[in-house]
Amino acid sequence: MTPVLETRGLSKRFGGVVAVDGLSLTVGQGEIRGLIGPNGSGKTTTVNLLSGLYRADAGEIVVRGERTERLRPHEIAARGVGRTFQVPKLFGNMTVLENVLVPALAAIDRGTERPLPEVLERAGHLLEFVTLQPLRDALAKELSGGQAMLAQIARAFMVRPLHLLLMDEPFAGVHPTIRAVIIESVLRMNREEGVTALVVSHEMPELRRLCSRVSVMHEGTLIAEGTLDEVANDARVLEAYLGR
Amino acid sequence: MTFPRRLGWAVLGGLALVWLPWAFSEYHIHIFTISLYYVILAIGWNLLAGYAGQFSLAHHTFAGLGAYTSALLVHHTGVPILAGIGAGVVLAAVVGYGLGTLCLRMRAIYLALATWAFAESVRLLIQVEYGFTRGDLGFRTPMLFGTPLPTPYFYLFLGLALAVGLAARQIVGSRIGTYLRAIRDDEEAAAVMGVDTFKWKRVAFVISAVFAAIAGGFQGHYIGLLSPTPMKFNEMAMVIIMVVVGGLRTFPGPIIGAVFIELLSELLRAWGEIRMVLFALLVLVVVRAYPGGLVGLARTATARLPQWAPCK
Repeated sequence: MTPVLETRGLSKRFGGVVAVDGLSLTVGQGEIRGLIGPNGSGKTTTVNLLSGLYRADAGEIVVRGERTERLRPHEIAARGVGRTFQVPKLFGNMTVLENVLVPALAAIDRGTERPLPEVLERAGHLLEFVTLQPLRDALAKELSGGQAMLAQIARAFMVRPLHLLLMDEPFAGVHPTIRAVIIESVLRMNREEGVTALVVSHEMPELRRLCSRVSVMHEGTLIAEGTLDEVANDARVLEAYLGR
Repeated sequence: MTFPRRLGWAVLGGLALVWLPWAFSEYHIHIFTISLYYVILAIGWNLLAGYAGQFSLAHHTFAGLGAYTSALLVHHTGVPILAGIGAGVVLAAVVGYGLGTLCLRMRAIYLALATWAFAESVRLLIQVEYGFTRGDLGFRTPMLFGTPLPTPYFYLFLGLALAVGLAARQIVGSRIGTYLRAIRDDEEAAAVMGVDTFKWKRVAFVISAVFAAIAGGFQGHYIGLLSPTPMKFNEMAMVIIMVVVGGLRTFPGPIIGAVFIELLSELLRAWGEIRMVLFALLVLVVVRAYPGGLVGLARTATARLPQWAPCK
């Protein structure tokens, strides 16, 4: 089966700093993959490359068989890639519901819109899903950090059809109750709609509940892959985290 | 407010505006007409800077382009005035598209600087091309209604301001308005959610240029004399002041701000350029104390009214 995501020799440098160095990563259909690594290992840069916010210096990104490394972010979103940010990036002066509707409205521009009742029903359903239905008419800038993360996730789920969800540190600074909601939401979307996810995180207990496999990055390259237990015992991983 | 009540107020307001020329002198009607010209400019800039977050400093230049294009065409080729104004609007749209393509990938201060450089270049070009534009000597334009009396122009600008206002409201209330607000709040998030941010910023840029050119084109054939002076940065500053004082990112803000500042400017005419200092201070006070401008202030006051009411 064609993998949902494949990168080959992906590289990105900022001046003299090589943030991503020949990364080759494959994520299969329906998989929830964790992406871990020490600070500065290139995880967020990778997500920014995959979502089109950064342009790769070299290498290829293939999403469901199609090269995307030269596409702009909205073109990548149109191919079913949604994402969330570590520090929630909501449209602060819009309501929570309006935020969630943006991907559906953007689809109208591409001529791939769905009927309005269906869109509204899905938005309501997703807000229910992430427990934000009571706050649907609140301004996004009034949400707490955890609520904003949930709103981001609901908004990313509105990208349709959503094939690949990129999540950058979804559990960072988030209350345990909300962490549970995030995990449940991603698992449910994966189960019910077959959404594939790549989750960048440092939170091992959450990743253990969410992912069957994790990939480990260090200094911009992939150094290990496997279950959490497998990589936890990998000598290169121990060296990357703990030093020699 | 219920719809019939709102409609009633709108009809009453409309009648009051139509009645103005019977109640005021020609001088006052001229001031009201100029206020309406600024209303159109302010609505256009609010759409671009307020709703889309693109801080252009070339808005007044598009008004000048509209005015000069029409005046030069009418003078040199003898086309009807309305055709000249139409050509000015088309040219502004084309130039707006080109300038937008060049500048709209820039952020914040860089966009402001690039558009300011464009505005100054156009002004200087018009100023030095004496042979063609007569530069600072001024370029005579024929009157649209064949008379310098302000009343017909007042009604014209009232209609134009209404049309531009309704068009802007329609845009802001549509999905395009949602794209623009999303871009203003967070461009990266808008892009990864599927919004073609560059395309919609450019659309907003072109629309605001068209609004400005409409205002400039008609105003040129009302004032009867064009010069590069209104293309100086002062004019742009006035538009910014009007929108900020009225209420950036609100529908009535630029309308209220433009009328308020233009009337205040006339009242303080004797103060000369000191007025700009006063306006700058006013902007500082508004930005510091009432970021919502006059509209925000009115809304806050209205929200507090029921608490003061002695009985329901």
